[in-house]
Amino acid sequence: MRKLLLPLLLCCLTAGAAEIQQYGTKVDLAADGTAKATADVTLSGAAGETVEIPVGFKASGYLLAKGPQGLKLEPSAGGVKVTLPPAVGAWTFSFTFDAAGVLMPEVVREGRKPAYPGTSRLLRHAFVNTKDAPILDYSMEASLPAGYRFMAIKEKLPRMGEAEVEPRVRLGKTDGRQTARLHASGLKQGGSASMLLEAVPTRISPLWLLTGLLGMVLYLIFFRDLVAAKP
Amino acid sequence: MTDPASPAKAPSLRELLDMENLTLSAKTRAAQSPTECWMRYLGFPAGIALFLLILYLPAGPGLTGAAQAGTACFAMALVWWVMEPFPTYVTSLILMFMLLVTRTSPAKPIMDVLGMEVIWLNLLAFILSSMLVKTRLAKRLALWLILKFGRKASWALMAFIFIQLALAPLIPATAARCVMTLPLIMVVATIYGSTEQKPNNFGKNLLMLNLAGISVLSSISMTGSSANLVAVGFIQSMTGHRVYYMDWMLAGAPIAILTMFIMWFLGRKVIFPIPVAEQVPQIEGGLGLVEEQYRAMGPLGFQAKKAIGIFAVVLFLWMTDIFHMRWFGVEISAPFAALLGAVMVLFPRYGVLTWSEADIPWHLLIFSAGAYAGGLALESSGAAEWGVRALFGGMNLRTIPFGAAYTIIVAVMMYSHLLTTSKTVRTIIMIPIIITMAKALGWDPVSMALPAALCIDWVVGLPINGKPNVILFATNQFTVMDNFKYGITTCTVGLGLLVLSAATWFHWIGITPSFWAMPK
Repeated sequence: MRKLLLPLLLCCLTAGAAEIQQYGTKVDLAADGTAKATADVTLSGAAGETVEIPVGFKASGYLLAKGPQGLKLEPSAGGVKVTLPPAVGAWTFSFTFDAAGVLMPEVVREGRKPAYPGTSRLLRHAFVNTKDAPILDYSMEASLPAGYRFMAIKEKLPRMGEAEVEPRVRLGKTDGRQTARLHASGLKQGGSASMLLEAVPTRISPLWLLTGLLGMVLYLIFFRDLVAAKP
Repeated sequence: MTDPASPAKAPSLRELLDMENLTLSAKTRAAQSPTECWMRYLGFPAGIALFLLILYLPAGPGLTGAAQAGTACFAMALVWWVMEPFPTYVTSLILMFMLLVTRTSPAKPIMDVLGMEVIWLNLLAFILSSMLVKTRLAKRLALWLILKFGRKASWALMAFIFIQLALAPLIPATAARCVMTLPLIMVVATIYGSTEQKPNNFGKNLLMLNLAGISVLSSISMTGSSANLVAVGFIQSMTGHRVYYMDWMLAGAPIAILTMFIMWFLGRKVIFPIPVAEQVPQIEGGLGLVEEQYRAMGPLGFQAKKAIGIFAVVLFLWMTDIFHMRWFGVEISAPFAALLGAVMVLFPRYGVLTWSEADIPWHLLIFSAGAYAGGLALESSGAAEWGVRALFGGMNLRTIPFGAAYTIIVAVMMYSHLLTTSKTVRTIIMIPIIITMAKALGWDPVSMALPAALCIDWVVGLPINGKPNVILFATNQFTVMDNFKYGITTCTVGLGLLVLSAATWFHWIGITPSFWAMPK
């Protein structure tokens, strides 16, 4: 019995020893809701250990883009399974995949009022660390398709800790396209980070300009007595 | 502007002190100069032009569409509040509508502002204030004050600095302090000939000095406002440095008190110079008549004694809020203490007022609601934080000595209140950024964060920036531009003293490094 338990215990210890130091995904969104994603991962683990990594997207077409000799990548339920090279150390690698349903129009349930205009698209990303290995630093950066901008950040989780200064979701711009970066640290198994953003076409309706100019002219005409010379 | 050379014919004291005249009316103050007429005329197109300009600017990298639209709406309202093409409450209503149609904010948060604690506190405090007026306690106190200190305008103004100085450590709620002293302020202003119909420079000085005193003197102690405590919490959690009560007081008290005395001088001599003719009470019969009126009031009546009792209960609850949890198992916050007072005031048969006798300026509450809706939209849409980060991110503070970086950071903190309506929100946005920036520059974070925290309460630039400002603005005796002039001067004096302190006093007591030290 003892002979059986000892290897099992060792196996558990080594399995739990893997740790993902850095996990950053960059997602290039297309207007039809599909996306091309590149994930950069730095993880440490035992020689030849197999580590499961969740991706947080409806993903397909995984491809190892860059990595050390001997590292293997294969799809698994809800993510990828990485087999580390037969040596101890920290490994950095990248993989790409196709994601679907990332930037979508609002789905209005029957009998409900829509909450967003028809031109809006929702960027929804919920990442849950469903696997054993803790993720010390997680980020996901999505670039909007050209011609779109973010209207509002509707949700960002987890709540900021007292000592955290960087916002949970930070907006930026890369190659003229607006980006949203979700960042969280210390995601143990079950830990999660999510964001929901509304994107709208960049072009602002000229109606604002016309109404504003008309209002200005009408005011200047109908209120001109304010500065008329008093008899 | 009142012509200082020809003061209006002095009305009788009885007319001046007729309490019916002291209602906070919703009438728009008439423009008093051709410049003001033109400001009102051009204010509307100027606001629209600024709105369109900001709305159609290319999308900023870190800015959402809602934040950009919210900034455009707020900027438009700010121009309208300052230039007054419409009454301020109409501007607030327009702002609330614009926040909805530009999709800056959903309907619920906009509507919810009318239920905010600050609005309730204002409403209930006005009921208490009406009680002071109706029972003639305010008139009695004001006449006494004038007889003791009011022979000269400068003494009367000085007396109010001491009143606010005495109240500041006792009552942390600035709105409560303001409403307590408002009837007194109005009666004294009236005695010096400043009324809603004919405001004069004494009245402006009196109102502005109290506006500044109520806010600025809150920075004397770290318990002066809840936002101060939020800042202390950030300093402790992000730097591990505990700021003690005396640390704060040693740094904050001299600056706040000195600023008030400087403003007492500058206000009378430079900003709103008081003509010689207005430096004495503007009443026929002089102080003799004031004394006669005071004597004629006789001893305190039963209603007045009841009012003192009710006010004492409310004051007691305001002053002892830190003990409530232990005493009652629940904290009776400032609005609820005022609510209890209002129940006693309005109680059938045994109260002091009927509902119709309470002078509640609803236009003022609507003005406040609009300002808060705009301020909250800037915060929730991320526009305020984006602005601060963009501002600091655009400066290269690594190549300049501590003193220069300190001056920039404290100045940003000091003047940033012009664009906010909540001290706490401003603190939550600014203090962590300042601490992080000081760390990145290699300075002790406390050397930047504590002086910046001392500016939290200096919300004196515009009527929308603080509760007391809104309440005092309701007297219709000063314009938004008057408030801006006085407020900016107050902030600039405070900033000058903070910079001077960093080079001397703060360095000696170990808060700041050498003023000319370079980043490591």
